Amino acid sequence: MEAVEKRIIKTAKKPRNVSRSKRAGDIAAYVLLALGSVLMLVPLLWMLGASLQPSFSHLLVSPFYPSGEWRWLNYVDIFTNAYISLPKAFGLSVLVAVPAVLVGSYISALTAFAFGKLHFRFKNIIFLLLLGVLMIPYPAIMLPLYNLYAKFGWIGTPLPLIIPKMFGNVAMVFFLKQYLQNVSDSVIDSAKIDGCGYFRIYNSIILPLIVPALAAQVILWFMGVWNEYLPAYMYDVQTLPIVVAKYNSDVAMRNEIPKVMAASVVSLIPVLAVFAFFQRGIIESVILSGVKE
Amino acid sequence: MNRRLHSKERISAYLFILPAVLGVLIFYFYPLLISLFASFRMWSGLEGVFEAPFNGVTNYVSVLKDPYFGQAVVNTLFTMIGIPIGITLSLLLAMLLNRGLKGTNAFRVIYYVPVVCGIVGVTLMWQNFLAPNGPFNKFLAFFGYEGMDWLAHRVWAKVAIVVMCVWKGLGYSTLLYIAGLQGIPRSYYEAAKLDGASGFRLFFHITVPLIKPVTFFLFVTGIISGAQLFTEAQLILPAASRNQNFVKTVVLYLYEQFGWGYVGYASAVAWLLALVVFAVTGLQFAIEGRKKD
Amino acid sequence: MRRKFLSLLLGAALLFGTFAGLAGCKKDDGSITLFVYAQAHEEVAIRQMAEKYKQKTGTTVNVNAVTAESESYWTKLKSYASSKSMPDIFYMGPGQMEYYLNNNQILEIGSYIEANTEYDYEDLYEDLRNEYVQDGKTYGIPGSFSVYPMGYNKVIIDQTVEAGSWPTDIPMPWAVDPATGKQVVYTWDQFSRAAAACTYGSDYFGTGLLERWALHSWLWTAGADWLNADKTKVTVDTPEFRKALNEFYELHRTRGAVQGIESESAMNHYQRWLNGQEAFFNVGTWDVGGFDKLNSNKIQYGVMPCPKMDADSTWYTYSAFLGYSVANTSKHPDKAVDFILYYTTSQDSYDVLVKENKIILPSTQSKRQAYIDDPAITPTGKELFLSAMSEGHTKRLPTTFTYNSEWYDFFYSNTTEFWGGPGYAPKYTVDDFLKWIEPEMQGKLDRALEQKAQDEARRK
Repeated sequence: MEAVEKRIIKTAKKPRNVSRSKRAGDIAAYVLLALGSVLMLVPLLWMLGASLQPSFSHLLVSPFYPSGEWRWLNYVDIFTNAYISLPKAFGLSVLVAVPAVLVGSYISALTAFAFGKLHFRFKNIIFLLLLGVLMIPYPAIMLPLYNLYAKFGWIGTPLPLIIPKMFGNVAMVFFLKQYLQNVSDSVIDSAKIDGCGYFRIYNSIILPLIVPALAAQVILWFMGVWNEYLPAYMYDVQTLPIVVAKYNSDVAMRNEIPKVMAASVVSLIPVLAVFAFFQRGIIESVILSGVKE
Repeated sequence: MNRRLHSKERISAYLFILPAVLGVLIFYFYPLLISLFASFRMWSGLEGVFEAPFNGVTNYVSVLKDPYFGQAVVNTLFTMIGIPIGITLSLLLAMLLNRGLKGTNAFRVIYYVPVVCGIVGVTLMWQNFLAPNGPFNKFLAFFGYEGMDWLAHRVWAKVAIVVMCVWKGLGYSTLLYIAGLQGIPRSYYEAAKLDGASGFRLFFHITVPLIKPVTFFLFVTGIISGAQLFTEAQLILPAASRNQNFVKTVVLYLYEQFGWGYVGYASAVAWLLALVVFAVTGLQFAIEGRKKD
Repeated sequence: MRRKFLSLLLGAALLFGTFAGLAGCKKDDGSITLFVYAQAHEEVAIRQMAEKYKQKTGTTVNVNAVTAESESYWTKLKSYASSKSMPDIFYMGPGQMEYYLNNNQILEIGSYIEANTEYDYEDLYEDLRNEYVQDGKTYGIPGSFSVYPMGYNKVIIDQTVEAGSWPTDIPMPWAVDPATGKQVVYTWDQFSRAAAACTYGSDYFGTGLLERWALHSWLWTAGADWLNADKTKVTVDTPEFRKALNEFYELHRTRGAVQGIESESAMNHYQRWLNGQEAFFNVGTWDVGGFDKLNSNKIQYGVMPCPKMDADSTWYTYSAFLGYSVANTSKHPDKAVDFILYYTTSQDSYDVLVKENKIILPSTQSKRQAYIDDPAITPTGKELFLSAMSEGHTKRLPTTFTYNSEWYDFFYSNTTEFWGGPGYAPKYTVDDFLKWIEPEMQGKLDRALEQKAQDEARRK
């Protein structure tokens, strides 16, 4: 983390001699950036506005902002109506994302510790084997996985989304292994002399040391799992994205766009909240690791 | 003593990596292998794959001969025109954000918001944003242009996916470019400026070549994820639309075959996809390896 | 050292405990499991029935409902079959039954029905019962059926009559035909003229139908069908099919029964119908609960037969059945059968499912009159729901006869080729479209037949 901070400080320093042309350039840059920001945010703001509209016809009149009567009724409705069991889906999404990511991250860090700090035979070959996973496209394995999960009786349960993640995340292992290079071996050596077992070293020394890097990865992974669609669709797990998409096709005939937009907003809120809270760490971690989710 | 210590270390290490290795074998390599076997068989997916009759390369031949698979490939490739567009835009954006302007962090956050948003909510939003009576057509009408039902159009429906993917992915590639730009020593620019090089020349002779690894990475990952496009294409059109063919991608084609019970055939599609991804990844390694020599 | 191993052991135990827990053994507490798919409001009604049954008999019925689309019900049921964990009772359609029979998953329940003295199985319509009887053996009990007749919006028709533009030679759709003593059946010609008369202003549409569901009525009344008798040949390039599809196309394009294409794409027809802007639109039995909540100043609807080709032909619509089967592996087949009979034939069934929640039609003969006579049950003309089937005006969807729906989906995913759309002209006329698509569909049907033969050969 120290390395990251240094980098931030470095970039924050600017050359002092501000010429006139530089200033003109800055203004142009601001204008462009502001325009771009508008393009980024307008669709999302429109979605929020649309979700407050009472009906489709209101949407036609004033597509960008709710007219007259602001309504939270759509939100009340989608949480209570019979066509979408939003509270249930929300709960299921939490049940899927939280334990899977926590256990999976713990295991990933443990694996990274073994690869980064311990000595054993075939280390590089096994590591390459793990990395190989990164290039396997998911659609190429999902059909046999479907068959496997069906044999386990997992289809329609959240288990296909939870259990495999608990075995660790290779991208995270890779990143944490790199990160562990910054941790000096002497810490481990002195602990060994004190007679600590390796598992204890991991839990009481390594884990606290890598927590900053790990935390950002955990959050990124959480957001990825929260938004996951294809596996949930494939194995019929009624998580939030699936239920919202299903709701859209159910009411598509009735053009209840405001309610669909409200449901979409609800599905986005958790990740946006997490992002708002940890945005700095998240952005630095992406810059550092290139890992998106 | 030393030997005992070492064997203790080895045993711990193997135990630590055991879950990850098991996970990779069970949930990645095993299904990959099964889908390879399945792709040479006439398998409907429910019995064991080896009970299904072997039919040689028939599946592969039929896939490659099916004009609708060809159409799916074309549609998938079409959506990839978003990759160079996104790359160009994000490099420009990164340069604007790398001027050390005040508020840079706020802009980075704004541009990153669409990245964290769940793909389902975002796609449903764009679907309605581009609807015949949606805000986009209203916007055009304001300037006197007549809009249309974009998503019912053979080409515009695909363009809509491109626009959406660029919009959603811009923040991520921009961050990677910012990291890349920060890695270019300022002295290079200063030296070139002393030689009287224009901003234009600085960009093409210093920035672009030095940033090439990031560009290359974005291209490769863009192609790999673009080849697997699914959710966006599945949800962009209104559920009742009769034009789903316009945006059918390779993975949608694959899923459809699976749904009809042609799992062997779908596995052949999956392996063709996997081969493309392997080839692109292999190419990446080859080129990176050559650079290092 | 010991501590380390303890922690490791704990970790491993946690991980594999999860697996073990999954495989975990179920204790037999005498309860039975019911597996269905249902919209959330239907699930509520089903749970109500399970609750009442428990009060009555003490047997717990665990309701496991898939609220996602029906496809995911069938994939889930298949996965139960392959993991040998079938629920005691599950939804079964006549079309899907063959697969599960081949897989030896469905129990023959004739003897249990006979042994049951509490409920009257014979009260269920014979046609429905026979859907689940093969070679004299009973593999299921019919639970519900649905049909898809036409509907009319009386408000618009009244307005049209008032404005003097209703064609005088066409009777009102709710009128009784003196020749037959039954509700009138429009011919194609009458239907399109009536719909054209109701098309006015920029907001009112005569009609505009969902081709995927509505087209069947046009085909069947013209004597066309999707498949030949033994369901091995696609028969869409026939004179009858061409005639029906052309009529359906003309109705939407040239008869003035639909506003221009531009206004059509602005809002879909279902929405227009709900808004009270469309005079004729199909009403499925499953729609009724929702339609009751509509604004009665704009829409007062009733059901009517789908139009027939000409005076001499018969009208048709499609019907779908769902019944309940019992798993071969069930530990309590007697209770399972008893619950199904309670669910389908009892007074509670009528009160809760038909009357209070309106999720099904009564499938017993004894409740037929009560249903027709009950003024609290909408819509106007509801006896048509029952008579459509009992008088032979229904057929089954073609995909219930085939291994999968690829060949059929292909038709509908290409109809744009003759309808045209924004930015492109139609590629084919209706006739050329059918000529082009028949061999394509046949190829896909052949593929399904081949896969089906493979599957069956392997099972034997």
